[in-house]
Amino acid sequence: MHLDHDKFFDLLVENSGMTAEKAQKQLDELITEMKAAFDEDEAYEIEGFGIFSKLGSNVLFIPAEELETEINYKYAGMEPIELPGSAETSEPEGFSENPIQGIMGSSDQQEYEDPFAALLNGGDDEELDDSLEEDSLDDDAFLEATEPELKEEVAEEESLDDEDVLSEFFGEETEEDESETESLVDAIDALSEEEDKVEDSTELEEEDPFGHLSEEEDSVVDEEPQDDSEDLEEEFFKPGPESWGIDAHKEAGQENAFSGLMGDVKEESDDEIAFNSDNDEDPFSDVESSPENKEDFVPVVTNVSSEGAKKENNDILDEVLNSKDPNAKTPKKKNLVATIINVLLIVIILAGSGYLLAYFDVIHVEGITKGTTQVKERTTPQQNKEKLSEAFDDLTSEMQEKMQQGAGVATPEKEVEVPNTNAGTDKPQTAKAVKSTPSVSQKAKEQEPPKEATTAKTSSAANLATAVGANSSNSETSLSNADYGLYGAINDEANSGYTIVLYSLSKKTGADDAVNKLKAKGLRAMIKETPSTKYGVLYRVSVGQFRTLVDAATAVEENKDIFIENYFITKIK
Amino acid sequence: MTKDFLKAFGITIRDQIIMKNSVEVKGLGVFKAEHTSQQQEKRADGSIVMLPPKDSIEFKSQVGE
Repeated sequence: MHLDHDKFFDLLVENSGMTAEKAQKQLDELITEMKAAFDEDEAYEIEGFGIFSKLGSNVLFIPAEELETEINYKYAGMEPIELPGSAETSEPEGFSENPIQGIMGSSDQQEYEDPFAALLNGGDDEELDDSLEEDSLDDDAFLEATEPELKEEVAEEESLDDEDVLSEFFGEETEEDESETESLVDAIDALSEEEDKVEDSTELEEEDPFGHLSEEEDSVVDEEPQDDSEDLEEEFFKPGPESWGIDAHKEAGQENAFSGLMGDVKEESDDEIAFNSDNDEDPFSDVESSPENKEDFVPVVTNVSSEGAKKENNDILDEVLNSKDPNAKTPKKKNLVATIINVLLIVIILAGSGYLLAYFDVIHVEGITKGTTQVKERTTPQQNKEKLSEAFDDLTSEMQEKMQQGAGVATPEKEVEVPNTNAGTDKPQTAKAVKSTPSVSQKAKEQEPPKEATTAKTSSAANLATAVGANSSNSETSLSNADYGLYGAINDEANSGYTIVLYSLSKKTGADDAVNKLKAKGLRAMIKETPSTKYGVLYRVSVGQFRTLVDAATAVEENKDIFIENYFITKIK
Repeated sequence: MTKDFLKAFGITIRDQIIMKNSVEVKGLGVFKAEHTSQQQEKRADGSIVMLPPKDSIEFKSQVGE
């Protein structure tokens, strides 16, 4: 819809509260000021509305933030939502071109990602050659300045073909290795075969630039020199925990290397001990095997693994512990006893002060406070009865008031339709039973669960009635027990007692129907009108006339088929 | 020219814009409501966001005419 100037002006006059002439004058003045600003190439701002800015021959309008917010109030709180997976879908486009591909030349992407993958996976021969050549260039420059013999050795290393390099990497024994081993065995006759292997491994470590990678294979070779190279290769590549952690290292014979230091020489097997005894170069084996030499090496050995030293240390520790125990326990015991005594003193003081306060009636405690015992002594049975009656009347009136106000007693919302009643009434809902009536004592105590109300009510009513009924029997001697009861006709003279209310209904017709049905059963039914400020007049349908609350409560207990849940006992008048 | 008038001027145009009406002010120009519906936008980092709808004011000047 388009608003022309006239319509806009009418609305402007209406909104500004000005006369049309004054509004027109103001509008003309506004436009004149704007044009003057535009002529001077200046922007014109209306506060809270926006900025008019001239750009060439055109005028731009930049709305103010307030105006933007106001016209977008429908979309308030809406923010840009990032669509899930949008970044992932855009990734292939971004990664389609490799920015480093040109720099890397013709090498493929795998080479770029992992330059050492070739070494770990066996690698290409060319790459190994390249790497070895690069190493040899550096080595040559270094060796020219050093010894020529070393240069020859390095030249021999370079003469190894790729297979040799790989076999060294995987710990295989090649023919050349065997020949070298044999030459070494010839040169050193005294060394055993196992020592030869050890020296082999050390040589391999020196020769092989990647020797540290094959350290584990060398150790395997040390322990099992008779195994074939193929078996070793399989063990090396066999996945599982054996080649990962402690077990693998154990195979390398490291227990032997640290056995002397750890002091577990006695736990070694007989073979190992024999091996150590055979080895002349092992000074610790002699020390451990011959107790006679112990004394000679006491300063060295006893600090590490001597049992004598352990015993001494244990003795010292025991002495320290024994010396500390009595000193440590005694203050604790003293502190505990002192704490208990303090607590007892505090309790005694508190109890004494409480007793004194109660005795002097500062605080009220039955049995201690003087006033309470005196009052009890002074009260006569007649006064007791009057007080209880007054209390009961107060509670009953309070309950009735609450019922009248519809507070949880006879509210239409809580009313329940009575079965088989109100056949002729307009609204079947008008015949309703009172639900969850709070008892007298419950009112006094307040806040009890609704389902427990009935039993609590009965018992509390009985308790209260016991006190009242015991004293009221004498004052109502004019009426005999035959004038009261649940069944029979209404006796007007017995209206000073109690009745059991079954329904609180909002319509008289429904109440009449309920009474008729109860009367048809022989019950002593009656209707009592109770005004309510909230719901108008309530018609309470009750049965029975009882002299005391006890009688009423007893009648309820004896006729549970009639009094299911929704009832309460109240005074008739 | 009073502040009240300027305030009434802004409110009058704002209310009509909210009601999607266009307003003509003689000698100044025409204010028109423009609605931008909800739409997707691809950001520089490749992520796609859904932008909320938005209403804006389009102004066509009559000052030079």
